[in-house]
Amino acid sequence: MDAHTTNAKAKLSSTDPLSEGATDALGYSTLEEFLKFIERRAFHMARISTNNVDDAHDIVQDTMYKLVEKYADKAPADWKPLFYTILRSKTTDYYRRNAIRDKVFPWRKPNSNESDDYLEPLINLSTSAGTDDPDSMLVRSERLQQLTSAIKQLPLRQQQAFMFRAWEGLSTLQTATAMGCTEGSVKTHYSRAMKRLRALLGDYYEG
Amino acid sequence: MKDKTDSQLYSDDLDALVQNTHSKDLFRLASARQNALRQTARRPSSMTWLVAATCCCMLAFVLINPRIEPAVVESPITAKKTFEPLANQELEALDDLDFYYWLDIYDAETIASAD
Repeated sequence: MDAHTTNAKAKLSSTDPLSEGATDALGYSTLEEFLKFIERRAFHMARISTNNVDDAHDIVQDTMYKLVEKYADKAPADWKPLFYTILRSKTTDYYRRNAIRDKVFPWRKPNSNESDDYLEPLINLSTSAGTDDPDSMLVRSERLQQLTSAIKQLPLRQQQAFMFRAWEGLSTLQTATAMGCTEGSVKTHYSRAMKRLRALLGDYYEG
Repeated sequence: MKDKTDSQLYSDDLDALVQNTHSKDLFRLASARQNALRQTARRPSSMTWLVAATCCCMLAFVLINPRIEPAVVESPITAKKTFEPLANQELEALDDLDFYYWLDIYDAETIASAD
């Protein structure tokens, strides 16, 4: 089977939820499988956006509740865009609440409980996999720390455009639906995000 | 092209972060997932709500509407008890008829003597 036929078949499978290969292409067929598939990535997206572990868990949990409550009867192919639409909405609400709180109580410290230990599992895995080169391990952990720090510095819309397009792999149309804006806006936000990240991370990702 | 290369590098590192999520975060995510899925099992069907609402409306209509009088159910036992005294009264009345017979005779003689 040539590449063109394979791609056409995959595209048809991904858009037609009743086709035989649909669930194989998606990787899930039930709501529980879908949530298990997406929860970790959603958590890290929320964590990067909020800079707070507990708030990130709250946002992800609220998103799961909303999806199960309102959209359980939708086709499996629709769950991912819907999930990220809800996640984006909850994150935006979080930012608005914080903005109001900061205006009313300007003396309060930022609500952040991030620690450096969140990279510990990555370091432990590298060690257990038998990577005996501590230098490469250190380089990778530093690079990851710089990457997450750089993403946090982006404006919210650019963060979302980058995470949905580059990380999650959503199309421009799906990203526009999730973000509640036009495809042109998505392209603009994404382009600016990449430019900013490249400027911040140039030294860590050269070569 | 450069965009794709850089985004792929960033994405690979972020995927490594996801793959190595801390166990306590995984536990919390699993708990949230189970709680979210459990709400579909607990939620009652819409038909149950419809039946309950209809029953409440009918009950409220019956209680509030003044024109509807409570039905009186006559049991055969009470009916018998109601008529028993009446039956006794008739017998007593019949017994008294003999007592008042002489009064009729007296009246007749009085009228005859007056004539």
